[in-house]
Amino acid sequence: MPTVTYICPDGELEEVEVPVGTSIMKAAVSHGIESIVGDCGGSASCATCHVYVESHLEKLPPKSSNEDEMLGDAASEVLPNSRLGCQLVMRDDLASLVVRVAPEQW
Amino acid sequence: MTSENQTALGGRLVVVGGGTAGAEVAFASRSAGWTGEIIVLSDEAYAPYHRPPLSKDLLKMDAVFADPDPLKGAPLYAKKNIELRLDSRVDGIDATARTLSMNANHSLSYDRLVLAVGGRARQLPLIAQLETRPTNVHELRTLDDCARLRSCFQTGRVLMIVGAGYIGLEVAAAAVKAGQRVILLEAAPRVLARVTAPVVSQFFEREHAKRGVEILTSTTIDNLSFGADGRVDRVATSDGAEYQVDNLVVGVGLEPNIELANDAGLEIGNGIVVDDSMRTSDPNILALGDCVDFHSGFYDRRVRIESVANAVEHARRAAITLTGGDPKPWQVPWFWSNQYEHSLKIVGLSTGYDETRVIDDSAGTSFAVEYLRDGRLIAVDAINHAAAFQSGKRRIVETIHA
Repeated sequence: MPTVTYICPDGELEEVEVPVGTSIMKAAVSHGIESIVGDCGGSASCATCHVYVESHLEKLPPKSSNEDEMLGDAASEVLPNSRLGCQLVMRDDLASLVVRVAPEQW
Repeated sequence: MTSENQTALGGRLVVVGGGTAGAEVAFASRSAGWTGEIIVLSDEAYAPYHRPPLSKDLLKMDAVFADPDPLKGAPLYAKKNIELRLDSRVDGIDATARTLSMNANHSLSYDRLVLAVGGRARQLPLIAQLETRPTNVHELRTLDDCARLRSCFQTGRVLMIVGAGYIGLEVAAAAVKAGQRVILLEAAPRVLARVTAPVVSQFFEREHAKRGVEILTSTTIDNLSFGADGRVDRVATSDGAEYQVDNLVVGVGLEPNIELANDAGLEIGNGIVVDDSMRTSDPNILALGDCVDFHSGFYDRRVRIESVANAVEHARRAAITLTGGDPKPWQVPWFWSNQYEHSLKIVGLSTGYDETRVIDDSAGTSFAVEYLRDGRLIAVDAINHAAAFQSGKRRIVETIHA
C-alpha cells in the first residue's frame, strides 16, 4: 500500500499507509495525527487540513478555485506548495508522498 | 492552575453524547492535559461519526449502505485512553451526588460532566398526536435515520419533504437525483426564508426546479390519510391539492435536548444556559454544541447555534476550561451546505440585517450576499465563492470589534 510521510509541527515523522482513493486528511485523522484537524470532514469548507507538499508536487492535480480560495485564509502562512489534505486523494503514482503539516490549523 | 483543577485533572470526566461536540471535547480534553478517566456515553450503536454527509453524500450513494465516516479512527480511543460506551442512554443526573443513571439501572459517578446532548428533530403536530409513528415518515438526525430513508428510494416513488431549510433542500437534491418525484412543502413564502435573503432563496428555488423538484411555498399540510398498514398514503395541502405519497420527510428544525439538564436543576433558556467557559449553572457540569444557549460576543445577544463549527469550537473551549489555560478568541459562526454541484458557505448570523449587497453577480452562479446592520457587515452567504466567505470572515471580525 502507498505511504505518506507527515512531518508534524513538533518535528516528528509519521509514516502512514494510505489506501488508493483515500484522502491524506482522512488517513491522518484515522491514524491520530492530531496536527491535521479536518473539522468539515473533507468538503473543503474549513481549511483545517493545511499541508505543505514536499515531494511529487508536479504530479498533483491542480487546485480547484474553491481550494485555492479556502487556503486564502488558512491559519498558517500560505506558500506555493500549500494544499488542503482533504483534496489530495492517494493514487499509485503518489506513493511515498511527503507533506509537512502546517503549524496552526484553526 | 488552581489546586481544584489539579485534583480534577486526574478525576473522572464523563461526556454525555456521541455527536461531534461529545467526541471533540473528549479528545481535546485529553490533548489539553486531562490525565484521569474520560468516558463518552452515546445512545447510538456507532462510534461518533460525521453527520453532514447524512443529508448529502450518504443519501446519494448507489452502493449498499456503507459504514459511517468516523470522526476519530477506532484505534485512537485506545491510544488516547478514552472509553467509549455505546448504546448508553442517560436517564438522570444527580448533581449533588455527582452521579448519573444509565440504561435504567446503572449508576456512574463523575468529577466533571459534559452535556453534549444535541437535539432531536421537531415533530409535526399531526404526526406527534398519532399513537404509532407511521413507518414511512422520516426525519434525518442519525445514521439509522439516513439508512431507513435511503432504503425507501426507488425510481418513480413520491417523496414529500416538509420544510425547505438546509436539511429539506439537501434531501430534495439527493432524492431527485435518485429518481424520486420530490414535492417540497414550505410554510414560508420562500425557501430558506428564516436564514437568507430573497436572492439566495431564488437561486436555490431555481436550481431545484430545474431538476424537477416541485416547490410549494406558503403551503402547509391540512390533513393526512393512512393506509391499512398505518402508513401515510395521501396528503392534503393548504392550497387545496391532494398528493399520493410513498414517503414523507419532516425537516422543520431541531429541539434542543434540555430535559436531563432541566431535571438536574440547571438553568434553561433557549437551550442549556452556559457562560463563556461553557459552564452551566452547576460549576461541575459543562454543556456545549447544538443544545446550549450562550452569549455571542460578536452579536451581543444570546444565541443557540446548530453547526459543526460551533460544536468543535465549544468543545475546544470546554477542554480549556476543564484543564486550565486560555481559550482562543471566539470565531465568527459559520456553516455550509452542498446541493447538486453548488457549494454554499455562510459566515455570521444575518438575523436583524437592514441592508444587503450582492457582490460578483457576473455569471449568476458564483456570487455572494453581504448582510449589514447599521452599516456594519454581520454575515455573508457565499455561493460557489469561497473567497467571499473567507474575506467575509475576516471583515466581520474587524467591523464588529471596531
